[in-house]
Amino acid sequence: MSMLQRLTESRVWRALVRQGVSATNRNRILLVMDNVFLHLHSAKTRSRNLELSSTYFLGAISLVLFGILTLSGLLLMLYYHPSVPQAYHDMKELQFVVSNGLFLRNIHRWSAHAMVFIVFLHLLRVFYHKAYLPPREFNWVVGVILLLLTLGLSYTGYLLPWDQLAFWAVAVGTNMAEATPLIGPKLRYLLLGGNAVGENALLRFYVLHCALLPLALAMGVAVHLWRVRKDGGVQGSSGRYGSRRQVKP
Amino acid sequence: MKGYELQKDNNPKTTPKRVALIVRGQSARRVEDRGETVPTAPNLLLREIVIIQACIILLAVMALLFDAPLEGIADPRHTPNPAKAAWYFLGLQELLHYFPPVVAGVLLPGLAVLGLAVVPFVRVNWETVGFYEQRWRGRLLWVSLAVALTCGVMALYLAWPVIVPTLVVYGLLVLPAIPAVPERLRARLGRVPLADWIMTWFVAETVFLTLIGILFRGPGWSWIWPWRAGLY
Amino acid sequence: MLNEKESSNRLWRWFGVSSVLFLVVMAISPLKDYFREYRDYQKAYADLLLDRAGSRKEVEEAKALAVEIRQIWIPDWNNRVDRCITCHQGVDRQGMEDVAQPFRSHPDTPHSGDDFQAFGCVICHRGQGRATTVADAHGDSEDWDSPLLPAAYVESSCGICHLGKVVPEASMITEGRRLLESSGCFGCHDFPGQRDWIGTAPRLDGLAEKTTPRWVRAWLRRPADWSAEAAMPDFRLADDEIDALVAFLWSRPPLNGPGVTGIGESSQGDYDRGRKIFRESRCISCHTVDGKGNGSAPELEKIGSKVSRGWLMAYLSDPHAFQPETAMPQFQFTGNDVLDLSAYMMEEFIEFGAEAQDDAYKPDPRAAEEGQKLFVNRGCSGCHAVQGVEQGMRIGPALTGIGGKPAGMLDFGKRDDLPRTLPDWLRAKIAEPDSFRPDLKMPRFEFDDKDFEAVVTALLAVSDEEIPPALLIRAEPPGEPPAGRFGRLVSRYRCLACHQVNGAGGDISTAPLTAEGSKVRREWLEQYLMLPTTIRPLLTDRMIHLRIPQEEASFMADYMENVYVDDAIPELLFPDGVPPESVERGRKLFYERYGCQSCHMIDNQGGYYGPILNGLGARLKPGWTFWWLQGPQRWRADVRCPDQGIPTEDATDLAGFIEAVSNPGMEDAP
Repeated sequence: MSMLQRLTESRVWRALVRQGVSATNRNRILLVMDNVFLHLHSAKTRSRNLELSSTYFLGAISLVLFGILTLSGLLLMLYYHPSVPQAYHDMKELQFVVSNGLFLRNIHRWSAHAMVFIVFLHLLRVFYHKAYLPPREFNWVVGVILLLLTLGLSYTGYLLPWDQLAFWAVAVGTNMAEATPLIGPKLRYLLLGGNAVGENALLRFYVLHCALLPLALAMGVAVHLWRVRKDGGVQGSSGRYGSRRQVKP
Repeated sequence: MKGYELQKDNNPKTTPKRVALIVRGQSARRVEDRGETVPTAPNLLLREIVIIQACIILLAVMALLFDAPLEGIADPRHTPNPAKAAWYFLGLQELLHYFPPVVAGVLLPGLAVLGLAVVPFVRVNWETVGFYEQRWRGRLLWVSLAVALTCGVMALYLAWPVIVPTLVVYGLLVLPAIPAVPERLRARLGRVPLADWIMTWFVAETVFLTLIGILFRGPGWSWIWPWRAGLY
Repeated sequence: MLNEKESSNRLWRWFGVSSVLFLVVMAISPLKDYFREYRDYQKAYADLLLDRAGSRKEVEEAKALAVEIRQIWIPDWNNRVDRCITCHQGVDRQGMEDVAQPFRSHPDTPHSGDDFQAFGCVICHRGQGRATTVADAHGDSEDWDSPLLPAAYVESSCGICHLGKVVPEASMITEGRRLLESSGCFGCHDFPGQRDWIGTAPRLDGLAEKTTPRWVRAWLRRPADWSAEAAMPDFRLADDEIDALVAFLWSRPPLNGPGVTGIGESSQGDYDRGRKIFRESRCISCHTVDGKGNGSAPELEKIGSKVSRGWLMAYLSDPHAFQPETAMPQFQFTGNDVLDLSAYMMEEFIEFGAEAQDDAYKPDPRAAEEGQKLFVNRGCSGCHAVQGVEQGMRIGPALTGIGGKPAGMLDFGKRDDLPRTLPDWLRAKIAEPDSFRPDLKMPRFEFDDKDFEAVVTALLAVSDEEIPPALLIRAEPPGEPPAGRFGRLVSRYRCLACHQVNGAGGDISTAPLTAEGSKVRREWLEQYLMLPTTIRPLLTDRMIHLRIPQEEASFMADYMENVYVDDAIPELLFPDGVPPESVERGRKLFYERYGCQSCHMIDNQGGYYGPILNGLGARLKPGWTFWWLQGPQRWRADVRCPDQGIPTEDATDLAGFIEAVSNPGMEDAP
């Protein structure tokens, strides 16, 4: 016990963890306020928002999924070449040779599906809780953009394994884009870097998936969370469906 | 500023330093209730950590049990039948079955995104009062007209998967107007504001179309029963 | 609301539980990784080696085996990686032939261990090279399109690199390719890389003069009923379709050139003389009669019931006027020869119980028109030429890459009973195409089991696999056919139907003609061309008696003596005659060392498995004998004379002995 005490009172410990470890309210508040990550939260939280039905933690789960995806995605990048046919062979290498490679790919894939789903649920939760009302209307728009970015990330990632599933899903998708009036064919050309889904498209989707879209999403998330804090924290399930007056049809 | 009341109290315990919007139908004197607060650490943090870990555990177990699909190498010469997009686009692909690509691939999804983006700026979404908690007869007429128009246009394209959820949601919407319906149900449904009805309709469409695309479509986008023909 | 303390404790408990679970779950994947499937196999292999170790060194070797992925990596070839040897570790080790798989040694093949390093395992065996689990490597998993090739068809993989018709040491695929060619598959389907195939289907002009509607009907109903050797498959034609086709064929204009009708049916001939000519001409060197014979030309057993006598006589006189591409040579028959020969054939080779001829047949023009459409639509015109119809229309799909088609892409139609594999599909498609869908145009091929296996093997080799040019062994382009007068004579007598010149030609004869001038003496050759003598009594397919006139024979012998010379073969082996000591030594070698008399007859003693050596010296030049002895297989791999590794001086003396004994009185010098 005294060892622990001596450790927590040492200069190194204090340099790292500024406030003490004792469970005083002051320390608890300092812990959140002084930490760059934790101060996403305000130091104090409304106890109503601790309840599951307040937010279902959908935003938090989305953020976690994004974290898992970033981490596993970075590791996958170490083994991936955006070229034909090596991209496909790399999938096989991940499965058969790379340590935990299949696990990484699996968790990346399922997290990606889960993220699309959870972000959509998050949008619904916010809508039904009327949490887009002023002053949060701008943050709602940011949220919609984040949903689109999520879809974009998932869609661009879909091509990367370069299997039949990937190829034809993307072929179907880009053919839809081609239907855009006036700019359709140009838009498809821009997306694919050519007239057909090929190596250029793979490279483009790779850059979008691994650099451009994640950066955009990270920025969007920063703005989103900043606005949440600035607009008074999360808006839980307060005041929905107004009064409980009797209906008199 | 009419409708707002500025709080000058800087006591962090109560902290309502934000302005609050008072919505129509509520008392102008009402201030948003901030409720009781507790320190974020550990109350919220622990909950979050547990949720995060639960998420990762769930996904890791999934990743251990189910392998991500990987088919043969991409081959432009061999078109699989059906060629399906990612699951979240299968709703759109189902629409593509009924409408020209310009409508199904651009117009409808464009409208949906635009509709979502402008949610906070449309008046009907500010209401928190139920559809039947205000003057509703005139509105019901308009809604009915809109539903009839939508269904009519969709019927022209034989797009029955769009019509079905529309009619189901519309059916629920009109229930409180029917005296024969049990009072509790009428009361419950009557409290739902118009905005929520619209959103529910949108969600029902999305889910219904996507499920059809995922489960019930086989070669040549023909209708299949997944328990008989399997999943495509 | 719970009191704060209590709720906080519960939270911490949840936190503890989820943290422990989290750590446990995170540890599973690395553990799974460590205990990979191949670890067990590698341990078992190490144990096996320990069991079999015969020396201390081998024990240490076995103990030093680490658990690791082993692979053949071919960076220059699409980065191919074959990890089969991760489990199949004994594959390149001798002495493991008796061990159970996966550790058994690879059986002997024409390819060596170095070759396997150059192209890996999967190119021959299929499956998934990158995989390190059994199910995935063998291609059993649903996602993999190319499952392990059943051993029966493994020769198909030879054909992926060996593009020629003949694949050395792979008889199955060679036979399969021969069948694909002779069955006319390419008449309807495009085979990439096999566009030099030649059809053997006859032109159908003037059919009315050749045969009868009754015969054509019977033939079209099912060719195999007429002849088990029929190359033409069963098109499953309905009776009205057959009628329409007959009407169409009978409405074609008669042949212009040879006058078939000029020789009347009434002309009698000498049956016995005809029989003698038939025997002398050695027709069965190519044809069969009642199944006996070489079989490269049609069966003659029932020819008398098929063709008209007028046609037969005209054809025997000048076959090339009927079929410019036929392999049948131009025999120099006289008018009487033809008369007698046809009399013999029309009487001898008939189908018993055949109905009377129905000569009064008038084609219905409407049916003929219908028949012309059918002729094209059913693919007849893919193989048969006939006036007024363009030949070479391929009505079937191209077979590009058929041998690598994923089973999931195949249309099994109504065949729910078939295993979902490519070889099974191919076989059923050839044997019973109508069982997939009744309206398929594909005809039914009536092969036996062996033939099906061969054809499927050849089809599995029709691959679109990308092969590095260095590994490809292309079909040798056939050389130029002989030109000038010699060329015209060679064509007239169809020498190339049996003999090879410059890589072109048939493969019935032993050695190519290209070295004939270095091989035989000119005088003998001239005589032989006029009247062939028996060299190998054991063979049915001997040189035919073409009745070449002396002037032509002399010209051809001169030409070959001067042009068809192989400079590697010594021109003059014994410029000063054969020295006696050489003859003596050669005699000993002949009888005692190499035991040649067990196959060859010399001095009227010995076996008759090989050519008779009596009088051999009058035929062969000693230089050739000398050269032959040092490698009988250099022209053809299937030459039966064993290669005994005879050294040069032994070969010299043997050639001397054979020359002295078999050619007394003849000088070596020309």
